[in-house]
Amino acid sequence: MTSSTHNISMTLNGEKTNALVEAHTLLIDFLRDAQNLRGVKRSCDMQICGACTVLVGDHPVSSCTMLAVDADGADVVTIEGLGDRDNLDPVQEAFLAFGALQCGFCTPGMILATKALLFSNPTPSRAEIEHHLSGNICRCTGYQKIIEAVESLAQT
Amino acid sequence: MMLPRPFTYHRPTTLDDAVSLMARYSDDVSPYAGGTELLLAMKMHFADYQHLVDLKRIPELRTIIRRDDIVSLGALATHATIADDAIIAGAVPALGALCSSIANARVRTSGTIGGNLCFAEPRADPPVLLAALDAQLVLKSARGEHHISASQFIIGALETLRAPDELLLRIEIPVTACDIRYERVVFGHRTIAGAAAAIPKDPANKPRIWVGCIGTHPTSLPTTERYISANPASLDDGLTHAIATDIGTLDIVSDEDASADYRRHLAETVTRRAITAAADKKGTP
Repeated sequence: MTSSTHNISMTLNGEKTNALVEAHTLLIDFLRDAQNLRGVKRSCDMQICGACTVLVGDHPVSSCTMLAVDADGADVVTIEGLGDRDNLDPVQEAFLAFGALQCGFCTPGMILATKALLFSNPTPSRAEIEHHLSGNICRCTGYQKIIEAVESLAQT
Repeated sequence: MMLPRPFTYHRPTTLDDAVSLMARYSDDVSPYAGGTELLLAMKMHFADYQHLVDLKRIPELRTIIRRDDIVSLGALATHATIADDAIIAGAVPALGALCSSIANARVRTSGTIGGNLCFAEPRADPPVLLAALDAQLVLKSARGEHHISASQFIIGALETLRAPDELLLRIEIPVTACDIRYERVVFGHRTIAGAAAAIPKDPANKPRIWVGCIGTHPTSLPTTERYISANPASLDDGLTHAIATDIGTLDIVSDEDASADYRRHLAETVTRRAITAAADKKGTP
């Protein structure tokens, strides 16, 4: 048995992107393998850890549990779509300033989850930050610095 | 790494087209909404379908409206939408509160209330609350519309009365003069005991007390409901005894998250908490 195939078109990190995908292709595989966006991390594969978080229309989704064809017509942002080495996004600046990362594996997901929070609520309380980020797991358990970094953004 | 097996994906943009597709492929089809349960099951090859009918591009399935004393909640409304919706906040705040704390922000973005009901994962919270709210479900197929109570819809673990060619269109929630609370205990990523209490402001009306996430599907607690009707002002040892009597009759599962004994204890505790919290709201708007 084969999957149906679909022409999809999305805005990916600000650029119009067209592709032909099989129905059963997961968004994470499309992004990592077809688009070479390796900042999208595969870990639990069951929507628990948050490492594969990407933004779809400013909302956070687990790219491991979404079909590539679902992103047809959408605005998709991965960590590669934020700042670069010389021009960091304010969330990246805050994570750097607060040392809000250790091994760094969860960091793309944490930063994108933070972007989504600040889009919907620019001045979250500490409790709101904790609630929103509770679905992103840091195996180094560096939560304190991450929450402080996000709090610093909420105050500006 | 887990991948779903190949399938054919359909993306209707009208309800009529969706209903036709469900009829045409009814021997091996699933409606596809947020995917938060379905795609996980397909990735683990625990569920396989040759056809998925994606409902996400049918706008009318997402609407939330209030008509007199009924809130009509589109099956494709996401948990995040329900959590932020002003109609829900005004008419059934307990549902908004629950939806704001389901799973995590990503699941709330994608997951839908209809998908949650139709997948019938035994540890899902919304079916317990919707049963206590006496919600009515409206399903549709090429054969016509079909109404069923949320309290009867789920008949076992991952088993519902939805026919293979049917789509859940909407959930109709009566807005009644009740104090409503949902209480639960979460372990890891899933609820291990949840209870919903809907206690009418007028003691002449029947309370609805439901427990879930402890067995295969939500269950009502009839002894407890009768006790509250007979003793509306008294939340004492008699209530504790009534709850224990009801929960003592249930088949409770043991799994890696909680033993049956522990779940039984938690079920009694969350049921008492839900009833007490609902009763405490009496007299407040």
